[in-house]
Amino acid sequence: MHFSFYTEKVPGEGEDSEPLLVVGQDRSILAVFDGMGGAGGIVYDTPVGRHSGAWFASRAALDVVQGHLPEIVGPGPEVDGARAARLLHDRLQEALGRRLADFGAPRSSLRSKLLRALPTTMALAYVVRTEPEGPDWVCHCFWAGDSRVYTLDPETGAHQLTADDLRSDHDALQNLVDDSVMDNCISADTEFHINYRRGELRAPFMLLAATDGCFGYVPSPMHFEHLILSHLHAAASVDGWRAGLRSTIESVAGDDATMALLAVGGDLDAVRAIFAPRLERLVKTYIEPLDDIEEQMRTTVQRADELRQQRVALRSELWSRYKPDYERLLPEPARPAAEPVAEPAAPVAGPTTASVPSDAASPDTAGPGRAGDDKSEMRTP
Amino acid sequence: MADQGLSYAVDLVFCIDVSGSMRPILDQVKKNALSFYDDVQKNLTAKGKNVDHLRVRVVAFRDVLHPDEMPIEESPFFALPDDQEAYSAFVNRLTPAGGGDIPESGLHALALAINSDWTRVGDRRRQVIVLWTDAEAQPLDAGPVPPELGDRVPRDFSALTDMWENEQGRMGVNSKRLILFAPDGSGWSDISSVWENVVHHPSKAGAGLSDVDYGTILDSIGNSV
Repeated sequence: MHFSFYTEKVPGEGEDSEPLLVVGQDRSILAVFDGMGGAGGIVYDTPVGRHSGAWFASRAALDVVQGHLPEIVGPGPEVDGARAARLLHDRLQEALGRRLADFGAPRSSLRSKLLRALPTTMALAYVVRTEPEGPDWVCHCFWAGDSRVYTLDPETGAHQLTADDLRSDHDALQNLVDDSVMDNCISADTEFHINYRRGELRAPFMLLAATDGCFGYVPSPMHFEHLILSHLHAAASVDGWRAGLRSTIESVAGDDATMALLAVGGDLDAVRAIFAPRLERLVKTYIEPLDDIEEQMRTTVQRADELRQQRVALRSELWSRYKPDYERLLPEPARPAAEPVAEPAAPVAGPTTASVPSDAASPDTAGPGRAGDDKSEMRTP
Repeated sequence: MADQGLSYAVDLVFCIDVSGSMRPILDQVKKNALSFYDDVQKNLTAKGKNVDHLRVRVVAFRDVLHPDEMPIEESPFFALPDDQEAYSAFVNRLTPAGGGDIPESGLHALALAINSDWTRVGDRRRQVIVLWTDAEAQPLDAGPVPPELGDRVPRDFSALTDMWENEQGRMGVNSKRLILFAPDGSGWSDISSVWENVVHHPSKAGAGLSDVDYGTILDSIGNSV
């Protein structure tokens, strides 16, 4: 059982290449490539379009693997890993060097150890059954950068098979937030190496290659395993599994995301049943406690916002009750300057009235401490 | 799955040479400083990265060997967009004057920038120093440092390098970036050839910077590298 998917954060500008997934009865190849936009942001105008160096790099690396891997790894289950890694390195270096020369682009005026020409990661798994129809497999991993190969075991869960080429010596949880600088990646103008590792697998298992858009935006490494198994659990078909997984990853990833997955051990129902106990343990032991505390934090923040609003409303309401007494002894505000008096009209017979200043204290209503123009009326104890 | 929605906190410190020789280009540099943070934010947002906290501060410099000519003018961090007006006002009132001979105190300003009160919030951070100058860097041990700068300025270039590379220091090992718009020459070329996480555009304060290279600089800040 197998599938792959590819998502672009910005349509048409995805710097991951399409994944490679070739599945046979007794051998399969899974590979992903992530062009490094931060280091390879220089843009090239070419007949195939205007794209970043990172965009071209991941596709060039995919071409090399598709074209040369069979000759590099040979026909049998065993591989001379060191030799194969060297050959891969040489083919990649030649291809990227040729591509850079083809571009003929002027070198950037920038100077930086961060920047590279045509930089990309690679995570490749070549897995071979040791005997026809047997349960044992050998897995050969080749990689450079921070794209990964994982295996999932029904008992022990997810295992990262490739160690990220990062400057910091962080674990998978720290790498989620620390965003470490890479210290090895494939490129046209900087020396690099291809890592190699051999492992043994026994069916049933899952094997997957993924770029960091898949696993770099989840709350914890445990949530990445949960992502895969929970969508397996909910899926009615392989395509449903793929679609559910892709949709969730796409909704949270801040990057392009690409994955190739192989499940060995039966059809969808069989694999689902095999991994069900593991999913249950994972949820109880890791996911529920983390999700619970996340929910509590969300509720607390929401409640704090509500209380803030209530505080504003309450303070305003109580102040409106308190204010009249509080302001009762304040002096009256200054009167505006008197309007110019119009020329008196011709006198007419009859009684006249005189206006009385409205702020004059009336002897009938004046009392101790009442505000008035004459502050000497205020008594102090 | 709980929504991850990583938040980014971005702090920018702009070191701007305001000595007399910058007169012909200071207005352009100020314009660049006023638009840089916006461009960084747009770059991150276009990549689906939420910038929840964005702050900027300014360290304007001349020559510390002329202490009577205001060798250093520093601002606090301005939170954007709330303090946009105060930030613009600070930048706009910078005037080119003084500085004396050619080397200016860019390394002193850089030391003050490295020692900023960087943010500790956000799931992922970017701490970026951008420096504009048209002059070589004056050595840190060229003469006495004004007392108010105190122990924030190291005694020599090796000590400054240690400050930048310090994994336990105030700036995150992976989150820091230094962007230099400075000519080739003493100080600046040493930095770009030796220090990590630096992008250097050899120029007089950014003159001749192409759109492509500017985009590359923004990508080097916004993307993982």
